[in-house]
Amino acid sequence: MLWENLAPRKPQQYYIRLQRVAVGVTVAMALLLLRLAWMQLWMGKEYRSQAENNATRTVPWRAPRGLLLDRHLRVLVSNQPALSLGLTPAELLRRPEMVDPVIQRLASLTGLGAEEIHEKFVRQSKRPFAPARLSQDLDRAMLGRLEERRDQLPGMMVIADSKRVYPLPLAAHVLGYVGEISEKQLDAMEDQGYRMGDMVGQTGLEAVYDQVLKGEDGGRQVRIDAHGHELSVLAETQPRTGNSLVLTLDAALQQVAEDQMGRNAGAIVALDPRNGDVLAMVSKPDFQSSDFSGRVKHGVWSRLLQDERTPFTNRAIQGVYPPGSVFKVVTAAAALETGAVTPQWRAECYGIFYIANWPYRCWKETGHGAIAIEQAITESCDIYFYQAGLRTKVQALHDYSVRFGLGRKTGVDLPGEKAGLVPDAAWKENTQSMPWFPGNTIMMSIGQGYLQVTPLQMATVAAAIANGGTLWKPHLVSRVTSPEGELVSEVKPQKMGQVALSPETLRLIQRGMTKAVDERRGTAWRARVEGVSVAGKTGTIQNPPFADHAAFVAFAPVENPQIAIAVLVENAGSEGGVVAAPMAKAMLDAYFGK
Amino acid sequence: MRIWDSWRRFDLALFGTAMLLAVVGLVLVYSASHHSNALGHLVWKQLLWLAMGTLMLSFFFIVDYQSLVHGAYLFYGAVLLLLVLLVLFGRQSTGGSARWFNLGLFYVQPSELAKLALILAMTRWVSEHDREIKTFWGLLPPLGLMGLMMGLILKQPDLGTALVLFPVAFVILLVAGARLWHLGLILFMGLASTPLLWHFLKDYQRRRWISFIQPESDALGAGYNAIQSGIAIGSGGFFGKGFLQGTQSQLNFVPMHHTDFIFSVLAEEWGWLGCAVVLGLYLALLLQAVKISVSSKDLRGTLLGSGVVAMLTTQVIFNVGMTSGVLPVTGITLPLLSYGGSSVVTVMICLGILLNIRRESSGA
Repeated sequence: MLWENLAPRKPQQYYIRLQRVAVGVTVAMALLLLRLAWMQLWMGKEYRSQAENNATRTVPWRAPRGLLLDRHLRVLVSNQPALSLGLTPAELLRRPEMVDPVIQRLASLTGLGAEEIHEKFVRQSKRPFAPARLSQDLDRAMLGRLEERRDQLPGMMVIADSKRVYPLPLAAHVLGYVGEISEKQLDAMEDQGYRMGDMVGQTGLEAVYDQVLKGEDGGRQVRIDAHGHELSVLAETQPRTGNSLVLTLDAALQQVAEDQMGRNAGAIVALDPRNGDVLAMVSKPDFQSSDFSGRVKHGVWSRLLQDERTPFTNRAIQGVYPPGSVFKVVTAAAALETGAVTPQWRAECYGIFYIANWPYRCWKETGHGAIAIEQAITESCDIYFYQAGLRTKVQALHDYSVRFGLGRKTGVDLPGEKAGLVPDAAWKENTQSMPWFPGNTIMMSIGQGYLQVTPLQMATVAAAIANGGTLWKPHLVSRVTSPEGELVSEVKPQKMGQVALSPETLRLIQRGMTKAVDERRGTAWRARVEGVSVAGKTGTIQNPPFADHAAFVAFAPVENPQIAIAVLVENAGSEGGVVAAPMAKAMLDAYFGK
Repeated sequence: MRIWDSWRRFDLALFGTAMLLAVVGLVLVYSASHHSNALGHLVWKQLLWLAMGTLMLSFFFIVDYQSLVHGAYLFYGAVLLLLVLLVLFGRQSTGGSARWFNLGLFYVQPSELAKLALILAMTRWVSEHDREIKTFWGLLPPLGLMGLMMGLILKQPDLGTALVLFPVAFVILLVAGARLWHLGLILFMGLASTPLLWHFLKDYQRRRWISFIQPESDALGAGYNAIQSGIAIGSGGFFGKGFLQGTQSQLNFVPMHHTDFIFSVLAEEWGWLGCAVVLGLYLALLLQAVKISVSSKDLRGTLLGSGVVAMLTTQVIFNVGMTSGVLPVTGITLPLLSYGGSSVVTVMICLGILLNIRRESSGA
């Protein structure tokens, strides 16, 4: 017996139970030894030959990313096969003296830096049987050169991957692009199953929806011989294609908008005022998403990054501008709703208006005469709005701006959105240690001064005027579908807020905007569309010492709005009605099939 | 002097067996790390851990285990708090799960402490309620102690440690006299309710479970380790390839081969013979531990000893099982052989407690 000197005061059953434990432990150890005997003695030869010939290689099998489709299921982004250059540490390490020569040779053949190759090789050594991707998207010539020297390049392999293609080269900022995962991204996302060499969305929807789009990579464990030829497959995991995104964008409308903006710098946003669908979103200048799929050509980066016109900025959500006279609709709403002015109240416009001996001019030097709110919107009378703004006071202007969604992010599903700025007296006190002057209120009431809004926010304001005051959260994805096209999830329109506007206020603003387009004296007559009633508001933003920006917002049809548009053209050097309104007209023509 | 008296009752056989295993561990850690500049100093570090472990062992040899059991709930509570803090704040990308606290000088892995805390708390509860646990409902409080801790450890997620808690609790309860079929029924109900739990898991957590249950589905991750480790072990043959001669281990083909997969180095370089010697040493150690549990002067010592036996046995079975490809890869260390401070120190503390139980019983 294992134990002889039993303590006398313990009942017998503990010995029996512990004896069972002892037997259990012994049996367990014996079973483990048997298992090892089977592997090492019985199967030993088989394993030894695997270890000697060595053995295995992990061949990655990248999951194709999901597609991006427009609202009518036109393909905006898909994939095509591309070859990558891989280097498998375990295979190269079997001939340690070859490590440096192989890296040098690969560097001279591919034009990559030897340093860079070495670093990737070292980092991959954590998983030495899988290849490090040295270069993606090999061209035929280089592939030929590599294949020719295969014998001098142990560990080298060509991996069948895929890369992004853009059948319709549109909306670069919205779609974004994919690129190889950076070290920083890898550190942050390793938890979520990302690995070195993975392609991940870097900006735009590709980045925001990367988890949805990326699918799940597969791979094969294969046995290889000493020359690197594959002998048999030990294990295989099929990749799972990523899910697709059906966008709210209308590719045809987007095309028109991009053509209209042309070589200007600026942004256009079109929303569906009934639900917040983003129908078009343009920012120019832009870049070609295809420049970043696969190998980025030399000079592309530096050219884009050095461009003073910042082509990487998505001006629709990251460009902030004073809204100019477009803001008068907000001033009007605030003035009417707070009772600061009545619909009948008239301001006298003589072309110039003094406060504390400072002159403030109307854009129309001869003046508009006695003018009430509806006509003041139509003709964009500055002096009416100076006085209405002074009566409304800065706090109410601020509050109504915030209710219309200005000064905060809309929450659109894109990265890097700016909030803009809605000033009030406290803000100025805090940031500039200066009191708020009446002159500040005057500038604010016509959308100049400290106010900063994005084109997307302007479009949201236009949509809210169109639909009776509802702020829908703008969104670009309407649903997620499986690779087979089945519905995975649907994006429900989300309300961000509701501006309480009386029917009277709405009617006055909408009529003022409609007449701005329809009337001979209206500022926006260039946006007229035959057979469709259009409401619009122009804006010209002083930008000293540079040329003025031109702005325009519109919605149509007035009685049953389906589309709201905001246009901003930087340094247009002319009025919103001249430069921006025709762009919106072209889009409305296209949208209503004229 | 009393302290001198107690050292005369120091069980040299148990300590000696453990030290033999520790020496084997040092040899293997050297073999697994000598070629790498980054890992070259691991043997010295491991030696440092062993020294620190021996200090802890001496401490727990001297301090009466009665007072340990007395303070068990406090300790249990403290570890529980640590685990909660870890879940809340410890998000780090160390292997994808938050298991470590950085204390500046070194890391502390609370789930190692959890095993100890559970053994002590279970011992206290069960020894004070040894009649109640013979009923079905009486089992629920001690199993609650286990479940709470296990839940928090699973949240990290550290499947390996969570799985070790199971046998520890069950063996303590069985030795104390719980009915086998009661425990079986509870185990069955636990398994039956897993589909419900599945519902609450996040996507990446589910994936981790799937690759845990079905490693072939992850040929690039866990399955890869198992394949490589299998080749290393199998190619060792009867005598092994010799010290520093294991190609699989030397070329870094088996990942984590100085920690979780250290056994594959042993099997490749020292063959079946080496494995038999090491498993024999483990068996000797464990049987001595069982003997100490039996001859303890009271129920507390018996239960404490059984818990330690269960913990060490489970770790050996799980670790060797996973390196040799019969059990899923879960990240369990091999006691005294695997490189790593938390693991070494925990095992040494357990041995100290065993020596303490032995001292008390031989003094009677």
